[in-house]
Amino acid sequence: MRLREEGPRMVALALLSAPPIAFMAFDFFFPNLSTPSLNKNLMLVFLISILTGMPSGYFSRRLDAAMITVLLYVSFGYILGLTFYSVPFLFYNIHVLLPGIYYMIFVRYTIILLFMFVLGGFIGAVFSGMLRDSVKEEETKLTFRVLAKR
Amino acid sequence: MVQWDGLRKHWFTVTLCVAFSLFFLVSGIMSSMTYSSVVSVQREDKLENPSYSVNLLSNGSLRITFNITLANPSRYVLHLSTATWSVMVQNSSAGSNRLIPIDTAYAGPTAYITVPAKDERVFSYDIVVFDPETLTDLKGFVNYSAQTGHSYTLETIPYYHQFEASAWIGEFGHNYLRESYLNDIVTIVLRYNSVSGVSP
Repeated sequence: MRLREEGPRMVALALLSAPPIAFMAFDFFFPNLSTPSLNKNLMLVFLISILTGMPSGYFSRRLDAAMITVLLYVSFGYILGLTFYSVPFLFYNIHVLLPGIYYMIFVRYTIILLFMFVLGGFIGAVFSGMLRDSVKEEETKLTFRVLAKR
Repeated sequence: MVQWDGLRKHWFTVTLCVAFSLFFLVSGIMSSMTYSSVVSVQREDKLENPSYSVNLLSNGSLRITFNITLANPSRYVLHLSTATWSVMVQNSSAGSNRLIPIDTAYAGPTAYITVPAKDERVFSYDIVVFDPETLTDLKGFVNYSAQTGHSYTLETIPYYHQFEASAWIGEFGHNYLRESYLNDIVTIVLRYNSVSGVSP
């Protein structure tokens, strides 16, 4: 299967995996406002990043597609996180003073998380890819056993 | 052509992934709604209905009263950290000491004043000025003003009232030193002065 043919699947997986990234970025900035809060626990953030990366590896048939999916969902998630951050100014007619600084502060406080999201995502994708291969192997073995019994 | 039949085969895993994603999506939306309502508090909460009066008592003392209402239409309880009122007279003819201070009142966080959600609290101050030094300064102001064509009495001097209330929303505690960037979000400061009115 060519990488190009994996495109729609990659986009669908990226959209599916983006919300946890968005929430974790928002929660890291506003631990007092978000529900439920991870309270800036980086270990939890890393574990959830690994979990978030798992669908990419499990449902992709190529590892490079899974890796690109991780990069895609981290980007989508971060954009969604910025949208959460902008909700008062997008929908409630509240004006943001100095928008450049407003967004820069968010990026500055959450930039370190981006590395964790990507690293955790890669680990999750590789691990779930291995898991899928092993499940498939077991399924094949069982199929052969059943056929051999017949 | 993308093969989606794998999704049907792995329906349990797909359902888990969708539930995982939806959980965070809903949490994110709820959190951003909370953020919006907290930010809105700073716009909704207002100082209203300021009123003040001055009466000359029979013993020559002055009675000054000041009332102002802090309206809190939000769904959060406000905890007052400070409430300060001061009354003075601006004496622009003086060389260096351009203010005649009359009185101040201060309430700190240990007063534990709260403004309930969707409610209001009236701040009322009532003082009697009998300090001879202050009364002499005020009479001097009246006499000097008479020379410049102003017919003030002790009751009609333009007293300058200042009121400032700062409060925080109690529901969203955080580390006030390490997470100082969050302080402004959960804090509101409201100011009033009798010359320019209410300022945000």
